[in-house]
Amino acid sequence: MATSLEASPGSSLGLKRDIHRARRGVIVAAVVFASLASAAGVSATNFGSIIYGTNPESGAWLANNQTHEVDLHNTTNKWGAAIQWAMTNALDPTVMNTVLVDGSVYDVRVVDDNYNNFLTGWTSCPPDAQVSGSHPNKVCRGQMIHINLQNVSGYTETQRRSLSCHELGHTVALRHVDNPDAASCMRVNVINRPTTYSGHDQNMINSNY
Amino acid sequence: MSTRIKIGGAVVLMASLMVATSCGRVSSSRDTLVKGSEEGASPTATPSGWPSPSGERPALDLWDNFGAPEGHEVGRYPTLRAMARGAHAVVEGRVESVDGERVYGEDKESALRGIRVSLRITRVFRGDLKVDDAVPVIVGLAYLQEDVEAKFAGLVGDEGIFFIIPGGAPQPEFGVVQEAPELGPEWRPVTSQGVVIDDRGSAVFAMNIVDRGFPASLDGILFAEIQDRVRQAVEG
Repeated sequence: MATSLEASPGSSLGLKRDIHRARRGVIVAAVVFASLASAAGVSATNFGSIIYGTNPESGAWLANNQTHEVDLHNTTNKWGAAIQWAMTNALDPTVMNTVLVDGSVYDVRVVDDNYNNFLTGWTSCPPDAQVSGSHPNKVCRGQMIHINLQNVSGYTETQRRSLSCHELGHTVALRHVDNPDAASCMRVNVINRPTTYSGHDQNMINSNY
Repeated sequence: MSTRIKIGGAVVLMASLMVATSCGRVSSSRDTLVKGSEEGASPTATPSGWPSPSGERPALDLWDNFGAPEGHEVGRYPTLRAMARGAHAVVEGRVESVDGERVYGEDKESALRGIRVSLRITRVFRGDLKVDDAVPVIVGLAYLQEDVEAKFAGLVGDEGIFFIIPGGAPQPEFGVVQEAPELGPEWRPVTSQGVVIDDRGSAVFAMNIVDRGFPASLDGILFAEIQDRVRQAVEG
């Protein structure tokens, strides 16, 4: 991600990107410091809670335990099935145990709707969620996965499973994988993207929960 | 945000001087702007007729919220020309107000609020909109519990070029063929590449972007230059 953020030196935008890098540097420093200070020992690879951009609601968070309760909140059949597929085939093979729940208490709530933006799906920790700790070990119970139906109407079943795997990964603190060819649904490159986690992703989950 | 402003001061000054010393290009582009409403004019009005930003820089950190670093965008445009073609309207304008009125989802717990701004158009590069139109644009989303107007009030006064489409419009170039008419009343940027803010004479692709693509080569050039390039893109 960082490698693509280039601009001419001395330009205003170059400065903006420099500040982005500085901000990332602060984040990295915080990650290192927190890792040293935390008993959880979060890895510096693609695992750990993080705020993307400047929106505190937007990013990836740790789950509170190995039991991951997922509430399919009036989701359409196709996306409900895709999420359940990813629960069973992507997350359950790790130490995490996914459970479908129906109620006001959940680790993750999945909603799909038409949202007027250019995203297909995203994960967030809303203001009313239960949070504890600090980045990169910040736990969020009550996360949300949003699927933007407007922009995924043409998705195949495989693409739905891949996006579901990806967003579920964020809810257990998996971050993006920069390698566009990585055998992981956590990679950003969506072309022929896998529907499950890589062995590395699984190791990150297994060693941190 | 304050850190960015402080550090950016020298560069802003340099950019301003560059703009001032290249007045030929700047004035030629500014001359094409149509004066705003009398109501919006003031003794400190800029050449475009809008009030002076009072020395404040645009709220780049607020725009930064609206990108998609952790999500997935519907697609990416490879060139400015492709983005201009994908947009139903390419306009220059100024954020007049923040009206977070659009709520998505029936359940309060999962409801999101559309950050809706009123964009006053000062120049039309492409599309059926007209100068002086005020159009509602959803620039991002936030949870209902937040005071959206307060949180994003800093956007008011920001000026730039917006590549927008009606919210429910398909984007066949990205495989989105289904229309969502209920989203139609508001517009939105085509992608996170589609907002270019005038940072006191410099162009800034303001939203946070994972894969920057073509904006990486344009970010930071003179705003007058981006105006020219957009004009060429829509004519090409």
